[in-house]
Amino acid sequence: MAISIRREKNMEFPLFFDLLIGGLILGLLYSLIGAGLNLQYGVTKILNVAHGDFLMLGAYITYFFFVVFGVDPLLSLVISGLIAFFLGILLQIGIFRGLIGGATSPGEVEVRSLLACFALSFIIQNIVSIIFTSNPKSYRYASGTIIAGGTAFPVNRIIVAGISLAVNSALYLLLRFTRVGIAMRAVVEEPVGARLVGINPAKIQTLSLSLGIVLAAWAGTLASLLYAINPFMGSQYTLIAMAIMVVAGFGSFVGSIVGGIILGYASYAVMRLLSSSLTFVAFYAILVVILLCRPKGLMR
Amino acid sequence: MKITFSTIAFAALILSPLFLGAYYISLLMSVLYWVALASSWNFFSGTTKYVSLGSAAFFGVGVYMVALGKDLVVGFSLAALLGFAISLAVGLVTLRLSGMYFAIFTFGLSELLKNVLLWWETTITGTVGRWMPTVQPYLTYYIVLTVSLATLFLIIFIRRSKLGLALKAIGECEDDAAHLGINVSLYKTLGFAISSTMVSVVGACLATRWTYIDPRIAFDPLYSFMPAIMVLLGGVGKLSGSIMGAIIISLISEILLTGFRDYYLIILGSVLLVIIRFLPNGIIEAIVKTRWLKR
Repeated sequence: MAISIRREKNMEFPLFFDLLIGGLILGLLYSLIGAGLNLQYGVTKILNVAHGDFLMLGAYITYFFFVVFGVDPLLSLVISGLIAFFLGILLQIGIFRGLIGGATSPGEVEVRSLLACFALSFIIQNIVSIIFTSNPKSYRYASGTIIAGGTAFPVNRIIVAGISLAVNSALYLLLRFTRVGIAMRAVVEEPVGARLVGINPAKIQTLSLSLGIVLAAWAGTLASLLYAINPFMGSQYTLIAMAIMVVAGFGSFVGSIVGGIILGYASYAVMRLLSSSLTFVAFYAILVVILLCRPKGLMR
Repeated sequence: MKITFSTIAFAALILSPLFLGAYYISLLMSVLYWVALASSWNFFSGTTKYVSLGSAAFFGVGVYMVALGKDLVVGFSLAALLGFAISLAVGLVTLRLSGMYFAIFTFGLSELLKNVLLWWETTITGTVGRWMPTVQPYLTYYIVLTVSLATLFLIIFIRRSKLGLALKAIGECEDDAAHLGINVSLYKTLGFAISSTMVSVVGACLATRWTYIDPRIAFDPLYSFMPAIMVLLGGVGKLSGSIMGAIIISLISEILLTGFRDYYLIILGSVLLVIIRFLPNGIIEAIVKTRWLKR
């Protein structure tokens, strides 16, 4: 009896901190995938339901290079980023450009590209599952802890938080200040107007699609530092990214970061206090509330 | 001419257990339920262009209701009721908005139900899977046959009704349909609910075929993916298209599953990509067009 009371008292303080910090770290990671998907959909009107599978691909690239060649996972951010970027360009040229050209209305493009991405998701999942089998894989990297202020922080979580924050900030600066970023936002706001002022929409679309996939692959590298990975982990992240997009509003990038952090806290709290199987309930609860109360998103 | 053909086909389907072996009966069953699944997906998503990525959710609901109901009649009624109730709720939340919200919401639906069910089974009942009540194989065949044909007749019947015409109008141009005084949200929700109820009942049929289920089998994403590929192959929005597509793909799947199990979904996925890219209007229209050109 006495032991259980003492344990409860000991747990109380770290649990609060754990929820506060763990939720934030997860939220920063989520905002990466949310921003990536929102960029893709905002600029190209392609709802990439294979987004989470590109995340999974990034995680497996990192795992492969770490286990086989001993490449530092942080270094493979460069590798996974490059592979993802070229994959994006390949997809745009091989599939989506022809789709957009052959369709008669914007609605048709949306429906067809959505189904194409759905097919892509099955293809990627099954290719990875043939190469790496469907058993979960994990590796140990930076698994120590730093003790600060009486509580222990796992190093890998701090790395994930730091990189997510850096990439999010870089994305914000890119979209806010550079010519490419301004062109991307212009295409989101006013596709016809953007063309009139001399922006090449095809180029901007290819770039946005690839950049979105790069963000997903990076998030995958970071996720592989925290969790075991498996070929079918992607759909969960796709749903998270889409929920963030709904919370943020289509095409709102600041909203994606806010939405990511909201979902991060919700998902971490459910995972920590109830069961990781019930995180989907939290996502759907948030989706329903947003769709009923603010269907245009929080930031629009 | 047409009537005699359908009468013969009808008689052949009813009498086939008399002269076909067990393997061909099971193959015929697969074709029949895929036809029903593809047609019910086409009935709503093909006609209105509101793409549902969550057929597996309703399919799984049907399977589980038979498992829980023990008795077949109770199980089928529960499947239809719960399928209708869930899809009505989903429709009410999402279908007054644009199609993207609907696609997003349905995408994770089967994953949601699967996870909740897994959690329920492991923490409350303490088992993951369930053994199914055994059903005579011929009874299973006749259940599948009845439900598939009933689904097709219901679709034909609804297509000519006010609801079917409203759905068609929404698919052509939703704004115009609204201007004509059609209550678009109501008809979309109703159409989706009917389509999903049919999927649930087909799931209930399949449950009679299986001896063991667990949430991963019942909510397999395959059931969301296959109807879409079948309809796109056959031709979107046409009943004959979904029937043709389902027959072709389910026969191809049968060959692929026996020979190249691992590559099955990769091949089907690539087929879908090629169709979307090169034959966006489906195979029937492609054949008709080439024939017309040759003439």
